[in-house]
Amino acid sequence: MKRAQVKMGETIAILFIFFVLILFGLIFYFQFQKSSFERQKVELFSEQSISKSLVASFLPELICSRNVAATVKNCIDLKKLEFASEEMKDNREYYFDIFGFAVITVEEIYPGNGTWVLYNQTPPEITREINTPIPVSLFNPVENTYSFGALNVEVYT
Amino acid sequence: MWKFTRKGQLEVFGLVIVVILISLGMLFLLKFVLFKPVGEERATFTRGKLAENTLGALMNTVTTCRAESKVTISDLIQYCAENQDCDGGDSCVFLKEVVEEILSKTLQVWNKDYEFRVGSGPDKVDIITPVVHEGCPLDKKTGFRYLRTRRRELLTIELDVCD
Repeated sequence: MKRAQVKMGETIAILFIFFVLILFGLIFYFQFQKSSFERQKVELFSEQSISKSLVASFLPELICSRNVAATVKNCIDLKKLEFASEEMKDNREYYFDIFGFAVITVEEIYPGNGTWVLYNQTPPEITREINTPIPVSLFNPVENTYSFGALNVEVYT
Repeated sequence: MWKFTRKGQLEVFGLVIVVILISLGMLFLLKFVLFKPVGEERATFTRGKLAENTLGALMNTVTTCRAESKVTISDLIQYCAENQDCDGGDSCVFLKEVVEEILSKTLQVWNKDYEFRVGSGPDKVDIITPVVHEGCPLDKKTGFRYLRTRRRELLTIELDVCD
């Protein structure tokens, strides 16, 4: 009788430890999944910021054109830039579909120092932001000269 | 009695090995999955684009080397290689100053390290002292451009960008 009781006790103890181990395993698994989802969110946001930066750098409203069809790489036309700034403010809904919550500015670095804000939509609460600066040539079609500038695309979530 | 004792010891030994293997597996999982840096792809992409775009924009930029004509940085590099001056001033010194100014206002502000070099000939002998901010000994992306002088000498312009 006593031996049977001891055996029962042992079985109960083993089962108890078994369930405790399963519980620890589940807790560990859920924590792992949670951090995995967070990482995926960050990676997706990172990819979105690259995609929006590429779209901004190839906007037909900004890029230089020479002759009829040829375009100069990584170039922004200063005359187009002046009009694009107003155009993008007047058509906010259209550009919101493309860029979402973002701030896009163009800055002249050398030899001048102008700044143009093209698009400015910030969310009420900012969880995350990524800034992708893209060096560009700023073309002045009147003087036919290029200056060094930067297109800054700040994406928010 | 002796047989039962040996069996128990063997079982415990087996359990210990299983626990050690599971612990090692968990440690590897933690190291390579949970602590993997996020956003590596973006960092590689932006570094590569930065090097190429910066060099491309740099080469087209008009400088104030000569008051009466539009001298771009690519022209200035050729002037430096051919020992031509900038309205009496040293074109190589002017080139270095302009490149330093532009890169310090862009790459340096964006927390990037860089190295800008102009080499002449197949051995890429430096025609100016490289413009460096910390340098890029290891993981880097390089932008390249090539020019010819009037003497048909090949000039190699390189910009390394790293984090």
